[in-house]
Amino acid sequence: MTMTPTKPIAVEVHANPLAAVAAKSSATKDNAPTKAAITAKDFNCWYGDFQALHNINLVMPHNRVTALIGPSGCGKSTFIRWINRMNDLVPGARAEGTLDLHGENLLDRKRDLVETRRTVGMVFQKPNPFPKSIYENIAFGPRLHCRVSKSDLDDLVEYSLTHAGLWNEVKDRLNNSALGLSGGQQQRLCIARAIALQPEVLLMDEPCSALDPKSTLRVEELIRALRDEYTIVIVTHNMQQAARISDITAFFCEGRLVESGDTLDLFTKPKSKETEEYVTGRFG
Amino acid sequence: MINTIEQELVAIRRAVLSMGASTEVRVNSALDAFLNHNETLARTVRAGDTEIDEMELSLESECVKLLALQQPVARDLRVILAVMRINTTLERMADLARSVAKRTIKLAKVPAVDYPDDAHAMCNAVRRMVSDVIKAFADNDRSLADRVRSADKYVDERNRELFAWAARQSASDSDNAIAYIHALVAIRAIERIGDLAANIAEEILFALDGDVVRHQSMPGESS
Repeated sequence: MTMTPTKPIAVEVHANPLAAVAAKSSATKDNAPTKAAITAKDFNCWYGDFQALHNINLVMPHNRVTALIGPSGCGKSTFIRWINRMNDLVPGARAEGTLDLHGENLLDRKRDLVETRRTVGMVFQKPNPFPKSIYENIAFGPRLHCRVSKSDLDDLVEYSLTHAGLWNEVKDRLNNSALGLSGGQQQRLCIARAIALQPEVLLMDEPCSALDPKSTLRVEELIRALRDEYTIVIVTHNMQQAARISDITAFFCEGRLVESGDTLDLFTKPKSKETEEYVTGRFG
Repeated sequence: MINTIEQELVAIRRAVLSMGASTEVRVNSALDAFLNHNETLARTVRAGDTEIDEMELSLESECVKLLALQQPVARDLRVILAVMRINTTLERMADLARSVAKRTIKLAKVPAVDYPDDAHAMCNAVRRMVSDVIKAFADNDRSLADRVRSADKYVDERNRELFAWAARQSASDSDNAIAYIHALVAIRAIERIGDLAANIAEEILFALDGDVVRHQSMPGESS
């Protein structure tokens, strides 16, 4: 992903990075249905001649965790990579249909991709901190995107690390290299890095697959906590993880969305036989 | 070799069928003993409860193991939850058969009561329910499970008739009132066995389709 420094973006972070976040977090959510954050309608995509996704119709609700599950190669990662337009960098990748974030077309070619990737943060399978200090890992993005004072930046670093559940572990060594952190800490640092840009959506592509059980638990707890403030879409191969942390689960198979719905329903009473066989481990 | 969840589920289904067969034998023996005033048979039923208790503990332990180690979902989870409840229900059925046997032993010590046709009809219906519900579990047979649920209404009606009979007889033949009370207690236990067979039928429907029909009336039946 190339994020070239462009003109400062007019977002609330300029004035007071914490105020915007505080305003966002004031409305704590329960399990009530919420409005749609991301909507895919008749969404298709191709890599050259190969059609990777067929007619995807899926609503990912605001401030909820949506888990995408399915066998390898079914199109889950392809799908979330379209949400922050990472596939733009893949030669021959193209998409048709609708993919909206709060009614704005994410596929619009005129759309500011830097702003899109600020709004839609992404955390990958393998933690990928920058080879910089812990502080700089968090400060890098906000500094690149906008003008922000040193004290606001300090506050933002503390806020982001606190929200990622990492502050107490690193507050005394912020200038140490991020590469010295454990795998689990590095992944939480990457989440903190995404949070620092005050995204609306956090995409997570198998964020725990490289972590040990304890670190996985920390990240899962973090995902549930962050749900109050962000719309989260997570790709996972771990059925129990999807069941534990998500509100909505969508099952993909061979580039098609087979079934989506309330996570409890999908794991106790799936509608499709294909879903039943996948979640019970008899297929895929 | 690691057992797959499918193998484990086959094993617990077999265990349910085995426990169901043992329970059915005990229920049938208890009903035979009751209707025929057979104290010897009743004493056999009263004595042999240990086998069912051991089966219950063993099956429960297998289910807990499956839940902990296989983390089942969807139909697998429903089957295990249903089996856990069926397991407890079968054990209760065997306990009730024992209660019928105990009353039969007490009835042997007082002048024999001549049971009305309703008692025979009720016992036959309950035998059929127990047999059918085990078959419905073995064959995943929704319609047979539904028939077992429906049959409970017939058993309830016989129970009401028998209550009225016991009340009438106690009044008109007051010297033998204690015999009618023992008979009524046995009849209540037999009616409960029918209820439990209907409960198992509900668990079978839950395991098959995920539909919770407990505490719901059958179509066309007032609740």
